[in-house]
Amino acid sequence: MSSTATSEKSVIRGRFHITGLKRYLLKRIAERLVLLFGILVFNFFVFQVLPTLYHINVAELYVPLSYKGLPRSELVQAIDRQFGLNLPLQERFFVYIESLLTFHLGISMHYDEPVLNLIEQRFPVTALLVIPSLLLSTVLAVVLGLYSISRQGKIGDSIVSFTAIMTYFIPSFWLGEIVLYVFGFYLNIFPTNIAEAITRNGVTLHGFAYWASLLKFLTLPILFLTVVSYGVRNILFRNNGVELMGSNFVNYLRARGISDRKIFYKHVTRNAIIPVFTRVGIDLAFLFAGVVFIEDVFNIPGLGRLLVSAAENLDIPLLEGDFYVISLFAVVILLALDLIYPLIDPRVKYE
Amino acid sequence: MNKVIKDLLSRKSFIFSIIIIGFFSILAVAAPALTTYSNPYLPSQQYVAAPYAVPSWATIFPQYKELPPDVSFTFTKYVSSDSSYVTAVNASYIKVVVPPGQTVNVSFPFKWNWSHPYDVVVSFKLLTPSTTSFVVNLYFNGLYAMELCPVPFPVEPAVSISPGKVNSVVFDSKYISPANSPFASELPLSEQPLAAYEFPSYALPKPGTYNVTVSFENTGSSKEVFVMSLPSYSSLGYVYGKLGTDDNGASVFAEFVYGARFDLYLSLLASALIIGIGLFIGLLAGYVGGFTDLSLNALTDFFLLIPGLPLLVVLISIFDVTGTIVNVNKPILILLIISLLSWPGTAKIIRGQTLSLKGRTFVEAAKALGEGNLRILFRHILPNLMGILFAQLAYDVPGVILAESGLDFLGLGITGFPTWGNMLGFATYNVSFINGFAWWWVLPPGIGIVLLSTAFYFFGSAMLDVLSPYKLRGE
Repeated sequence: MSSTATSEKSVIRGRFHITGLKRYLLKRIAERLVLLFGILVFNFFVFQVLPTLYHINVAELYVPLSYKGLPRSELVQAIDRQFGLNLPLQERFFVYIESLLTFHLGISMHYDEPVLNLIEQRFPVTALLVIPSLLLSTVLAVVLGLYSISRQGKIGDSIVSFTAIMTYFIPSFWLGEIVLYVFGFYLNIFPTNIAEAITRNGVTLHGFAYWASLLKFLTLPILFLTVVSYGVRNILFRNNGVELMGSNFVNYLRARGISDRKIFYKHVTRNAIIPVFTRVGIDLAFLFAGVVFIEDVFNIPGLGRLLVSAAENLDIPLLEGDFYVISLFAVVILLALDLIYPLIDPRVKYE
Repeated sequence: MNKVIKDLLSRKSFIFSIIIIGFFSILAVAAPALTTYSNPYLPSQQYVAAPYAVPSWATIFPQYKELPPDVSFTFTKYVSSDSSYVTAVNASYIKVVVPPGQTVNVSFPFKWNWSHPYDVVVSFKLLTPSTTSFVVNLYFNGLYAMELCPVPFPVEPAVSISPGKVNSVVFDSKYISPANSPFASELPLSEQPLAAYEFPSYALPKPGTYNVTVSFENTGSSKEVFVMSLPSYSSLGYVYGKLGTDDNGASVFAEFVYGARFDLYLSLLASALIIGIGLFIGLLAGYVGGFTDLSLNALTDFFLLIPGLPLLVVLISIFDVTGTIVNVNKPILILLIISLLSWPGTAKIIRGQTLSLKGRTFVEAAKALGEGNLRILFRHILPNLMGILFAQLAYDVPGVILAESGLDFLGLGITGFPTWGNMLGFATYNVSFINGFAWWWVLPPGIGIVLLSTAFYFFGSAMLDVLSPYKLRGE
């Protein structure tokens, strides 16, 4: 993504005239697709080949030891047949790839529901948790960062930066639990039980009321997630800004007699904010992986917990489907990021 | 080099990091000397005090003022109803002569300065006469605690005692039930199951002077002679040590110290491993370039793109469920998996730095002089990477600590001995209003993780600033 003169150059292939943008796009898409395929193969290896190598039949985990009735081996074989685990590995691989390409992600072994349904149900919850906190924490990071840059090296800057670094290293499962106890149970400000929050008199709410009460329930986790995630963006922004303040172009602008205020807000901020956007993009790309610990602590039925419970139960269809959706989404978002990057940072041109 | 140290010491953040890292390192190294409990998760090292005992320094707060510490002593004074029947044999034994048809009481007074303890244990040795016509009763300040009968199967709640022998009599309030204590059997039926919990609050409700009374009753027609040792008393208190106790009455301080030991050990080892992998891949990609660079870069991107934690969970579950890898123990497995999943960041940074170093004039000069690739790598590029390597070593530590703690918190990591993650997991699982959120148990590991991580971050930043090649060349 470096700025070179080659961007103007066009390459002639056959009869088609491929311009720089198209060439760049095609190259990027091809790279990312190869990467995605690699991840899919790796997932297949971890979820299917590895257990087979260690002689684990995952179906065994799904027949309770205390089950009385049909012989155990028959049940295990039936589950094997149902989920195609009795096929040889090479056949399973093609079935796996085919199911991913056609988006028939299969049925979860643990939840006994289509994988796609499960992901669909949980996506809005996680999105409602992650996206507001992404916005809030970015705003917080930028505001605090501006303060830090303008008071670089002074006590205010030290305190703000130190706090940002501290919050970045807070284990969310620890402070989350404390916050939940203090604000949820002790002070009783926020609802602590999602089932109670989204029902009234035992009836599940619908429409606007549902979303409003869900948001009310999610307020505490959103705020908490904001606090534990703004740190890295704040530090990125601050360090970049501080570096830019000492750079040659700022000196040049000063020499031209442009006011410090204008230099600060127009030139420095605009440049320093670029890595923050990249970071937000990357965080957004992994939206589907959820925020495992926060969902766990605050008892939110989100994507992160779905994934971890799938992992704990070795729920193969769900794991495969979920990892696929995560990777696909990440690839798409990262690709989109590559595309809009030159809009944010004019120095970068499509190579 | 002197200049480097001076530069380092002029940074406040570096001083802070050194103090914190030093503090935890001393804790970790001196762990066996600081505490007598090597693994508080073993049942034999639990119940050193009551569950959820507060730290001893916390008694400065008014709500913990009345709580008793662990108390244990041997009675020295005794009072009897008729002193002619009771004589001291030596410093620790007394002889009691009971005339026929009479009862002799021996009371042992003691002063109690606190609210009730967690349990009450009174034990003594008793040489009984060889007849069966006597009963020995143990009273706790008017509470009928124990009845001892010299028959093999006495009517409950009496307990059997063998005649003509030395008996070791132990009254332990933790194990009382309607079957072995008149106190419990006299309670209303609904309260009987709770007798073991309620006895201490009945027996020692508040500060004051209390008596343990042993009453010898002779039901026969001839005089009986008993010899008993002065009883010893012990009780577990609600105040213990530097950091109190957890839900099993194990020392939290011991857990914290051994947790620090393990976490530091594992994270430094894992960071070294991450640096090793990252250095290899980064150097190779950056220096060789071309197709190697492309494919190694793809590999790095690949590891960056898979969600780490769920994959960690899957891998741990697979290796856990199988149990086939008996030869590899859990900490090593966790170490390997965490290292194998977290090297990409380091590799990227090293690759970038190698690329920039490769283009510098001194490398070109070395090439022009006809030096081999290996020599250039090890003599020119690697020394210039030292700052970054040290910084990365420090930067990777917090990540490893957090990942390992997260695994332990989810119950998928180490289970047999305390780590900070285990402490957090169990603590947050157990806290409630009843135990006052067990702040002495919940807070230390979390604060430990945050402080140590921040310290390592600052350490890394200082190293990077000071040791980066520009600084070394005096620019």
